[in-house]
Amino acid sequence: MSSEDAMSIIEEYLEEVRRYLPEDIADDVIAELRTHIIDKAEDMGGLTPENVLTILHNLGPPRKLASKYVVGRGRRKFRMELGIPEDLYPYFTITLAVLVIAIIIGAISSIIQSVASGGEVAISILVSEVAYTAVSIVIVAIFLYIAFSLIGSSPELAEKVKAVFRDIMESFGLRKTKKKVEPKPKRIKYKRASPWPDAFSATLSVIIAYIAYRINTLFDFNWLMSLLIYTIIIYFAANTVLRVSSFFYVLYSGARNYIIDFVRSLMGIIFIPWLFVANMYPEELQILVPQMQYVTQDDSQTVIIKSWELMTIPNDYLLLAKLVLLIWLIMAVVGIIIVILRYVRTRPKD
Amino acid sequence: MQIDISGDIKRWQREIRRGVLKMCVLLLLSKNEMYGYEISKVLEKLGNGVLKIKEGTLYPLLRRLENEGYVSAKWMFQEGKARRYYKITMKGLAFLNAVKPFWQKLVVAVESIMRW
Repeated sequence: MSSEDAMSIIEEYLEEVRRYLPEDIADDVIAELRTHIIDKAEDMGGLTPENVLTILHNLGPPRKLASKYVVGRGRRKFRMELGIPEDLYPYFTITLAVLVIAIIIGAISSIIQSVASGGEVAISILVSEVAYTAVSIVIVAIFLYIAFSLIGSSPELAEKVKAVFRDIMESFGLRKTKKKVEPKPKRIKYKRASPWPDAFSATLSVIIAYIAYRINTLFDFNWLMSLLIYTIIIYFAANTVLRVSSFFYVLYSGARNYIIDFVRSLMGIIFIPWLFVANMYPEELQILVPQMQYVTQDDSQTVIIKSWELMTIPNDYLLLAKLVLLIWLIMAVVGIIIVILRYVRTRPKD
Repeated sequence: MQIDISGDIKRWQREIRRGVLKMCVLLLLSKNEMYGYEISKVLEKLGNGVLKIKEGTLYPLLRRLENEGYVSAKWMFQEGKARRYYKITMKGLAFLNAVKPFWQKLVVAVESIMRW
């Protein structure tokens, strides 16, 4: 590990700080911070990556550091960016968790009430409860995200909100003032994001959307299955647009745009209406069944797929089809929750 | 029952320190032109640990003082490094001359109350 490694860590950190600084002061601030970090590292025994990481850790996350330069300059000069700052994230997570738990408790109590009054729960009631819960969670998450983003864009307001949260948590005994233990310097990595996964995914989405379109023209699907195929086409077309936008954003800025990623992750929600409809008309569900043919050639027999035919699901299997749909719907809801949690957890912490 | 007031104490200390730091930085700059890291070292040494300031707080504070016209800054090369030196302005001196007597009176008053 050399001083060049240390310098590259410094430069990556400063580049991140620069992103959030008003342009008119950025050059001065960055140059001043650079000299400071080098001076301090030399005082600590040398310009090594370990010393530099300790100093950067003390300076704090780039965005938070940059926001301190913005306080008092007025919002007009602040580089407005949708996205929750790292220091507000724990409070966003807590609020979201509390609301999600409240919604789930509401849904469970509603199901229990149905059982208590009717003695039997129809799958459709379960499906509608799960779907209603999922939609509520997504709406709440989106509104909360926007609200916290707006709070985060004003450092003064963010500090006030954090103080309120701290007071509430302390009054509930959820937050204890711990003895300050000198934290170990974290290995901070500031790498440019790669735009190529976006390019790959956009290409794949175009191909899938096209295949879905071709399948729809090749087979005579009924209205329910056509609705599914159109939903798939819309999903992948929208994914293509978002991936292309993300590609250019990453290519230009070197960082991911979390708004695009978040919207893209939640797009699966457009399948929920179809699941609803399919649950109401399960007899309309169709599957593609391969028509097999045995071919004998040179004393050996092989099986080939002669053609594909559309088949409605037989009555005997309708309950099974309903159950499959229910499982699918539950997976969709769980998937959305996982996406939100994963997004909250994996958002880079500086 | 154990009463946990450590949060309140920390908040109070933070508020007091925030108010005093501005005056201390101006006091240092009234003696000498200094650059950021130098200020933080002197504050840590003379402040007996009480006035230790995070770098992430000092530089934005200096920037605010500059914006408010209490200090001016200029780049100077020293030991092959570009350093931003801060100097107190007339406005800063006027501010310091006004708050210094008040602070002295405040310290005496608090001391008297403590001894009472």
